[in-house]
Amino acid sequence: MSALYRLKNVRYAYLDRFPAVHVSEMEIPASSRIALIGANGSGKSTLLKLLDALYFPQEGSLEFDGITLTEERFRKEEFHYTFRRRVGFLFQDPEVQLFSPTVWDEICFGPLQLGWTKDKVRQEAERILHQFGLESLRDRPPYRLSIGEKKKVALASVLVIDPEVLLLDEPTAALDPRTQSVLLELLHHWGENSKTIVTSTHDLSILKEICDEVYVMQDGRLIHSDTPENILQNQSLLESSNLVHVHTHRHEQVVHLHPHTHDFHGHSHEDENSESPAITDSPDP
Amino acid sequence: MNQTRIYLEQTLSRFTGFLQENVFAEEAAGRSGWLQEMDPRAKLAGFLLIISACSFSHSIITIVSLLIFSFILAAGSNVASLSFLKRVWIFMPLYTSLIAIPALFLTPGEPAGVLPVLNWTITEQGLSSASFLVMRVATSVSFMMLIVLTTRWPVLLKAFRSLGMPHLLVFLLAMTYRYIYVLLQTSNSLYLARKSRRVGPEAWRNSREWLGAISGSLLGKSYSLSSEIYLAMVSRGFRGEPQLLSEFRMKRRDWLWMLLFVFTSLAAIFPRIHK
Amino acid sequence: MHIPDGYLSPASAGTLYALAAPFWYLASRKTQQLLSGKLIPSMALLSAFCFVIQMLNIPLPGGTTGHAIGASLAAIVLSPWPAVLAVSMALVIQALFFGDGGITTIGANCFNMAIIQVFTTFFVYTAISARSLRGKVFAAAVAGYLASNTAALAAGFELGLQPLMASDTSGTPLYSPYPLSVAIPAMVGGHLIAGFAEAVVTGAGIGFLQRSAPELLSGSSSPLLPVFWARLRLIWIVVAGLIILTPLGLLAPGTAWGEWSSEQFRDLGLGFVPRGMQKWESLWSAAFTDYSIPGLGERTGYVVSAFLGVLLILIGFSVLTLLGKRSAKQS
Repeated sequence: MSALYRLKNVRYAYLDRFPAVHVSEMEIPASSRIALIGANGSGKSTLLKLLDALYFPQEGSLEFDGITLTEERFRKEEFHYTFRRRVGFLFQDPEVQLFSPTVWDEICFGPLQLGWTKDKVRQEAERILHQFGLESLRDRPPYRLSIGEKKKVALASVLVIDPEVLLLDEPTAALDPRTQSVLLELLHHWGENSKTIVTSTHDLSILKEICDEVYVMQDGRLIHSDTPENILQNQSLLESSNLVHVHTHRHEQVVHLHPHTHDFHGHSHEDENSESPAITDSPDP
Repeated sequence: MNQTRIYLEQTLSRFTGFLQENVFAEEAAGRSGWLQEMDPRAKLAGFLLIISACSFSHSIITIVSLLIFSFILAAGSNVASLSFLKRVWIFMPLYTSLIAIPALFLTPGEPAGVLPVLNWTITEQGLSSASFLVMRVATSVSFMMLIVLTTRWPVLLKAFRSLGMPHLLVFLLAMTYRYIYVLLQTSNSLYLARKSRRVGPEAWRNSREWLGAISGSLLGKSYSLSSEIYLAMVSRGFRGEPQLLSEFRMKRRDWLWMLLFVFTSLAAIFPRIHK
Repeated sequence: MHIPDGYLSPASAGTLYALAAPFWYLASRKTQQLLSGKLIPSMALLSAFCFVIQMLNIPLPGGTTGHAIGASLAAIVLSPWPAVLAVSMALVIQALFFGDGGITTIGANCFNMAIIQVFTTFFVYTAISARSLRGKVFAAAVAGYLASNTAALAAGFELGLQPLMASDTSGTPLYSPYPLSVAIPAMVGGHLIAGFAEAVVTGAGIGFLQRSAPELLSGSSSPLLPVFWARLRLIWIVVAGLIILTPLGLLAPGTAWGEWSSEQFRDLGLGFVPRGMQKWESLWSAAFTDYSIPGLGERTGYVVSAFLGVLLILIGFSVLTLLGKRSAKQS
């Protein structure tokens, strides 16, 4: 598989002052499904925005399909429209993504900006409304949608243009488990036809569902990459990058101090008694 | 300090009032009635003409007739409920009446009566003037309320566009309206958060402090939202000129309504032209 | 400060639309030139900010409440031309949804709050702003205060001219019934106090930005304005000062303040002279001597008795109006 994205020595700092990302080397093959994990502030969002050419690296090169992404490139109308059609970005906060007066307007926004004919816009918008089961919400303003509905509309408004690449910034944040699975299913279904998906998340429970390879980020750097299964076993890595917490856990009369990870298909503990002795019956904090 | 709390509570109720009002407006716009079924362009253009005619007219009778016309339209559109009347006939005109009252006495002219006890003279010109003011305000507000109650905001915006408002402004208006809600919610949360963290009798020492605090936070929220929104727009292809989709078709009935409005407006100003 | 429908004659309303139009046009052009689209969400959000800020009433000395418009903050933060559009939009939404300000008077309200207040703020702020945080906050607060009063002064003019310009043959004012001698003190007097709300909002906003994102403020030294306007800054400061001082004329015994001739207007550098003033100058002095100016005490008494008698008057209005109109026609 050819590399769709190629990053070399990419550095980005906010306002030229606050370093956010420093990736020395990264390749994202076409049709791959990748997750970026890391604690808050590790640079995941920023990296995604770099991949969507919303920010441009101050140093190094970021190539998409062999073309280096720079601000000048995007001044050319044709390149701008081609790229924006091929890459879609789902923002973490639906308040940001849903800026149009109604659901219908929001879904039509992308296609209209890309210059599709009015008939095609209407046709595709209807199609995706139907596909996502959103017909009844068509004329609703965004402030009258529940968080789950907002996320669905946001996703629909990005997928309506049928991009090749989908960048997702914490897609399951603030969603209840049922809405989470609905969203993941929609993604799964859409992603079946050789799409490239890059997801940033700090929710380890969804890792196995959403990707084949995981990159761990810390302080703007990629410190490790591996399969989801291996990453989930790698306790020390997860701890040092603030992805798991160590806490006290009570089994009837006995209180343990031990680290805690999640498995998507259940809930498991790694009970490392050797690490910390059981504390008998202390009162709850 | 108590005063501050009173004003804060009042402010909160204004917020929620606005939100509720709009929920109500959406509901009213969803009912079936003359105005709801009218093409929004005919409605908008027609009412703007009538409001202008009201402004031009020098006859109090004409103005009152236009007001009655608005009530008929309200009745035919199932919005002649208490809230509508409350706003149109009580709130705005009441406020205007208060402002107009000194004019009864101050305006020079022929006396029409004397106020008992205080012995102030009311002049005819004062009476006329006050009536004009109140009636004009009532009529304009009435027609505006009709537009707002029977037309959903996005539809209204598109009507503006059809009538010639530039793309950019329509888009801006849409976005402004949409984010008013977000900022209202933010202000609400700010207020409630402070309220719940009360250590002494009051969360804020005085109203200037809370106004300053809310201004700063609201501004911060506005900024962070706006920069992210810009990225979201660019990400979906935005290049500076928002493209819109407009989809109205005037039916024959709409043309008839339009004719009626134009005729009414002309009739209203005819006496002046003819003089 | 929002002027509703019915307070301005069509001529005045139309004139103010015509005065506002070139500013709107220029503002659109400049906005598109500036950053092609990046400003759009900022303008929408600042506009929403103005809308929400205007809902925040604070109690003021004297027992009334006041609120800020937010226009001054928008002027500094967005730079004046985009602020013109942003504030105008907030005003339009208010007019439509709250009847806060009329449709025919959108031009007037925008001229006062979205144009006069915005540019006054901008001029004052750039003139007196210092490098330190406290200096900037102070400059912002002062600019907000002065601009708020300037806008109120403009509104007072517009309203006060109505009886002169639009009365019918029997002397009935057809729109706002209060002449300049009442309208201006009412508007400006109120804003001498209410202007503090604007000062607080503007100062707090600038203070916030200075601490968290100072680079965003650099946009206020806009290269958009022609150079020669920068030289007029000093004159504007003097004008602003005079505007603040004029209401004090109320206190001076025997001085009928507001009785400026059109020449004096030009000297003050206000840049515009109300056409009604020029036209009706002679008539005006005659009208002025006809009625006495009620002192503030009496007017408070009016309001109190108004509260007491308001219901009665509302009912009696229609009857008395018809009677009054008929006898006016007969005379």
